Amino acid sequence: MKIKIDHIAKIEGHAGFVGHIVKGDIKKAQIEVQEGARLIESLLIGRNYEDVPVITSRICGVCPVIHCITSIKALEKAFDIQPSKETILLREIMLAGQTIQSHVLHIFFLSATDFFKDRDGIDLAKEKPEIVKKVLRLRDFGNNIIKTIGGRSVHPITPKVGGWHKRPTKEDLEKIKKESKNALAYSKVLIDLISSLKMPTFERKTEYIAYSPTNKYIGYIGEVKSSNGWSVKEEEFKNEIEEYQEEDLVVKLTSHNGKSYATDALARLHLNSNKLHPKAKKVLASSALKLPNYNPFYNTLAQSIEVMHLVEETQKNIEELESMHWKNLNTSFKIKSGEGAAILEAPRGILYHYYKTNNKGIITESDVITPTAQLLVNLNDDLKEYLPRIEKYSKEKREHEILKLVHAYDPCISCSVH
Amino acid sequence: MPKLKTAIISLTCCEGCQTAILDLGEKLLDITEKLDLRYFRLASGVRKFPGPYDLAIVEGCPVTKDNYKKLKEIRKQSKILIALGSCAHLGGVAEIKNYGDKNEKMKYVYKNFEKIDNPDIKSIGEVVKIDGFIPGCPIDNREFYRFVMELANGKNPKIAQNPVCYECQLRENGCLLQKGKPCLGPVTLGGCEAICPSNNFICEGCRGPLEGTSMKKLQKIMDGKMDKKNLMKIAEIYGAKNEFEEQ
Repeated sequence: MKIKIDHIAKIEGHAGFVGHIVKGDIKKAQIEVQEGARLIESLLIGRNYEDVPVITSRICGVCPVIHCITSIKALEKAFDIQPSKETILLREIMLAGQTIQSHVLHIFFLSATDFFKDRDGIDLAKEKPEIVKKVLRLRDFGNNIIKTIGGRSVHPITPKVGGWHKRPTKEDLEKIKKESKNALAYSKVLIDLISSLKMPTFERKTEYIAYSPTNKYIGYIGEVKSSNGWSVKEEEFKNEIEEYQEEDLVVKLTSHNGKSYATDALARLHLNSNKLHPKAKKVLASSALKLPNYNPFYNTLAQSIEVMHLVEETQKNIEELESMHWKNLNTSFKIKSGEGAAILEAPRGILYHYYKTNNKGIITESDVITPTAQLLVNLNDDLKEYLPRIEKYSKEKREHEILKLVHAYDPCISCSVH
Repeated sequence: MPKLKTAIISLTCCEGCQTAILDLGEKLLDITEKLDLRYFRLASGVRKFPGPYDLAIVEGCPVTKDNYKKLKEIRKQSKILIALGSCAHLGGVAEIKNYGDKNEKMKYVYKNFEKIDNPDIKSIGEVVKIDGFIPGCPIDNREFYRFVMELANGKNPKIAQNPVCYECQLRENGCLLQKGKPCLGPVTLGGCEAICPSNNFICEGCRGPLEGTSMKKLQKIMDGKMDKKNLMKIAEIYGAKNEFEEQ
């Protein structure tokens, strides 16, 4: 039996699915990426370092902030720049805004809708206006953070190597803090909605890999950790994993010791859950998500718990910023030849940027590894195991179940190819 | 007047313009009252909608053979075809490769590259006839809202031919050009509320040139203090270098 889904809706970018089963034996089950190659890494070669955050933001319209900031972090390493504490906190707040808006888009519009009759965010908005209004306002909260600090929600303008083109005022942050009270309540509404959905029972053990900050659940300074017990510095990450390109494939995939691994909200929960803020920790403890958990459908619930944590994190970070000087947000620096590798947690997992510059600040080498490029292999492995369970379903129901699993992963195909 | 059967379709891009539309939040629901929005992949589970469309709004530029096929088919099936954002309107960041050796660029990223499509990047207007465009990287979603609401009401929306400087001065920003920074504001189509200069960042021309202007004019404004080559390097970022050449 051949199963083919030409165009998957409700994901960022373009992909399909192909499956091939012969007498119960899964010959093939994989995502087919249908995205064009924009060759972003090579477009940076020969350009000034200041163009890098501008161009790499355009890798993804859903998660531009993380590409922008990760590229800046890598370039600051290349130039030996130590950003100010205030700058790091502001970046963390912006990244929280990014993950909140991206998660809410995914949780509600792209994934949870699979569990309702209409399977469509816009129809659901008309059907359940009260819940949807709260969900939309929660997403607006994330977007407003990015807009307040970054100047715009899609493709932020203000971040630059060394600091900011323009910085927000303390009053701007005070406003975010005020809005956060409602956002916290709305995040509970979202968690309750997701908790009420009946997740398919499915498990496949995998390795979880995530960036683990020293004192934070998601944060700027840390190292890469694995559920198998190892850890490496961000500079060493590329040597730890294998990046490979199967013939004609436009995505370069990754594996660890020849096997697939997961890097997503579930991976973060497994490695960093002890650093969740109190309310999110409490919700996790009373939820159906018991760790360890190898059911990828729970990624959506994990994300919604993260949203609550990130609202709390933003409150805390703003309080910390309020007590600081705010005099020298920007760090002065000298352009020099150098190289830098940086990792931060994108909404979908580990994002790696690497740059080499000459003494005029011109980019001579660049490399980007996105979360989706890493998790596609894990998704394909899950699809292979999930398919036999749904083989007997009607064509429509089977397709729906496949899409449900794909949507749970929240793949960003635009990012994966870039 | 019956509601326009509408599709928002993406070719190769970052999908930031679709995201900006989604960022309209509750206002997006107003649009769905006025337009029969049949296809919007980022929010709707409808996987296929082959047309015909009264209104097709296309973001991204064609890169794969499938993109080309799709774009030509969309043109056939639509009464009104609007280019959405810099990639569709100008070529976008992917067009940077046109200004270097595209095969070298391909080899830098991929070991196995023979089967990967690597055409010169074109805006969609260079491939099919378009009936209008909503510029920017990303689009300004308030401009999008006004534009499609006017279309929904049977009007022909226009974007005023003012430079970015016009709104920049209204906002009483300090002039970046006067500080010696290479800001493309004087020659770039406004309507973005000068959002980049308002954030103390130069205009890099993502909305393309004003009608009848070119980079030469900016060089004159700057008394030749800035090399045209450097200004054009900035115009490359959103694929507008060819558009900024003298007409």
